Amino acid sequence: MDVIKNGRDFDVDEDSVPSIEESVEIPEHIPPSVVQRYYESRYATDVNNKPNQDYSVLIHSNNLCILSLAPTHALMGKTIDKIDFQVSGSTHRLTNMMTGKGKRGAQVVQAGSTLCIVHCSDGEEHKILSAVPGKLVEMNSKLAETPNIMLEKPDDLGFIAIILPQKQRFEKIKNGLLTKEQYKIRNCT
Amino acid sequence: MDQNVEEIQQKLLKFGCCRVCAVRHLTKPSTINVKTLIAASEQDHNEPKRLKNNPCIACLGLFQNPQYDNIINKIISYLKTSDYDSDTFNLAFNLPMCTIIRGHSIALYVSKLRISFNPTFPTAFVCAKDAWKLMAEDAIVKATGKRFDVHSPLLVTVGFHYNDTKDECDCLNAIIKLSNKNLQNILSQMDNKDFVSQYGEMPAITESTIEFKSVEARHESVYIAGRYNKWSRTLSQTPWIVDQERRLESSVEEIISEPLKKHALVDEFRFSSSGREDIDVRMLGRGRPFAIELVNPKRTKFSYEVMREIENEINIDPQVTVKHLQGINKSQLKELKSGEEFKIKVYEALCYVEGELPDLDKLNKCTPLEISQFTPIRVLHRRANMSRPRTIHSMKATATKVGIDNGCSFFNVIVSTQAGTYIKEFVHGDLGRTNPCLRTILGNNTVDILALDVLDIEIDWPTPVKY
Ligand SMILES: [Zn+2]
Repeated sequence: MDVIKNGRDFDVDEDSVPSIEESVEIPEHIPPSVVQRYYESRYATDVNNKPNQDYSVLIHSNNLCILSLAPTHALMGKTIDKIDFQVSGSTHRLTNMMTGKGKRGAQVVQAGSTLCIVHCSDGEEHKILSAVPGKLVEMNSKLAETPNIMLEKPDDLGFIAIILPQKQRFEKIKNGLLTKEQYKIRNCT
Repeated sequence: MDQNVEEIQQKLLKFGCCRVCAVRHLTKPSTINVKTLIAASEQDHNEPKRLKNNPCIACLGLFQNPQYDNIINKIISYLKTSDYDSDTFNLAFNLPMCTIIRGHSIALYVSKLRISFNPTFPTAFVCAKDAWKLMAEDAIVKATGKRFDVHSPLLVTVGFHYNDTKDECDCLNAIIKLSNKNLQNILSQMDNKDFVSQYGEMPAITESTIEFKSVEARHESVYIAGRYNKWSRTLSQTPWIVDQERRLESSVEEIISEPLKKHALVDEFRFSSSGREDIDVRMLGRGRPFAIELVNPKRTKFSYEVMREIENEINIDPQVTVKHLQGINKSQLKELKSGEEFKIKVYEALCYVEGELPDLDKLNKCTPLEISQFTPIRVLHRRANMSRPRTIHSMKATATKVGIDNGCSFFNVIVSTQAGTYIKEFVHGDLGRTNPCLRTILGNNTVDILALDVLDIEIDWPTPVKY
């Protein structure tokens, strides 16, 4: 390995240090994506018993849940004109103030709570519902300016929200969601 | 000697003071003379019958035998058997509250007499612990070889027991709330008449004697600094424990601290460093500056050779290499922690895209670059969620080969950034929460990172050791 890095001569004998390419195992196929590496994919369907209220829930190993539209959500295929974050007289999802690592003061949502209201170009109005209960840690503010990323890149830039379920309820909440296989089977029948 | 002083001393002796207390209560702290105190003590020891069975009403026997010699011997044997290597020591006494109150009572009595004899005479007196330390110093120094020094990092604390301290303090409860802290201040702020009406003109004669209870010592923290390399991608910096369960066998902190703990004979230490790297990130180059605070160390003298020996012991572990190990003081430790935000850190990232390589020159040309980074999702459960501006000072990207064709194109980026920038997220964007990121700059949604190394922490700290 070249000892001179960034124009600087480090005073450590790096001849014996494997280069970065030699220091990791290179996968034989395309390496797993960020979502595949860090998240477990789950689904919630017909939330609030409404047909095609289907959501993807990416569960991080630290229990945070990334909520986005599932491929079978009623909105898929439509065009969004505008998203309204004022979900009630007093609650605006983008003015969700919290403090500290405990996220004190964060808005709390239930499974089925309205996260935002989507106005489509065809005049339809859709409530976006939370698929899991917990603290609303983050609402994706990019949706305000570029609402259609919600449909185009659901599991990436277009995620809806980050929710932190209560630790004691986490396992129960997770087990109440469909696995990727269950979701696939459901869509075949 | 001043006639009036002599007269008052005689009165104190009659009330039941030992000679040392009679002398010190009439001595200004600035004119104290250890020979006078020792002479007074010897005179007392030569006529033990004078006070019969009752201890001195001021010191409760602190200056009288057998307590006096017993306490000295306990301190000496403690210092001899404990492993403290300090050349000096300082003494602290935890005296029962009632001895302070007794001293105050006698001081009030003395100053009242002095006003009638000589109103301008100062009333400050030598307190019991100062007199005791002065008198005992010589014997302890001779027996232990350690010098007495009020600035010594080694503080020996002696604890005492006295049976009736509660009863003696309780009589003041009606007019004042006593506490061990600032007791002297509390007493001096009291109205003298109130004090005398509750406590009496003089301390009561007592049967019980002050007794030695404990001796313990504490050495000020010693700080050791150095720089470490981490060669492993499966080692955390600090012990990785989730729900009280260890996830990894060891950690950089433990590998470095164990030999130090052994040499310094400490039971506690605090590890700190200029930032930290993830478990799967190597720390290359000249290493990361770190410091370890050794709490209450017994051995504190590490020669150049001993430092090298400790380094060698640490470096037996192939996962970590430590260099430039040295003692530092507390203010140098502050340097490590100050201005952390603005320090520059240099990384090398092994990145890839699916398919063809994009135009890497875009990376080289876009710096300096201001980015905004939300707290990464992977740490968001234990940190506050906020967006921070970070500066990418420079980037140098080069295509590289990895020896496998897996449908991806690989490239290395050397990134020089403001401390605190999360590099993995700067590569893949963390669901768009770090912006811009390599994905947006290269206009390719498949940009990702396979491995990360820290090449340099640009801090010249601590002073390099000559090898
Ligand atoms: Zn005395």
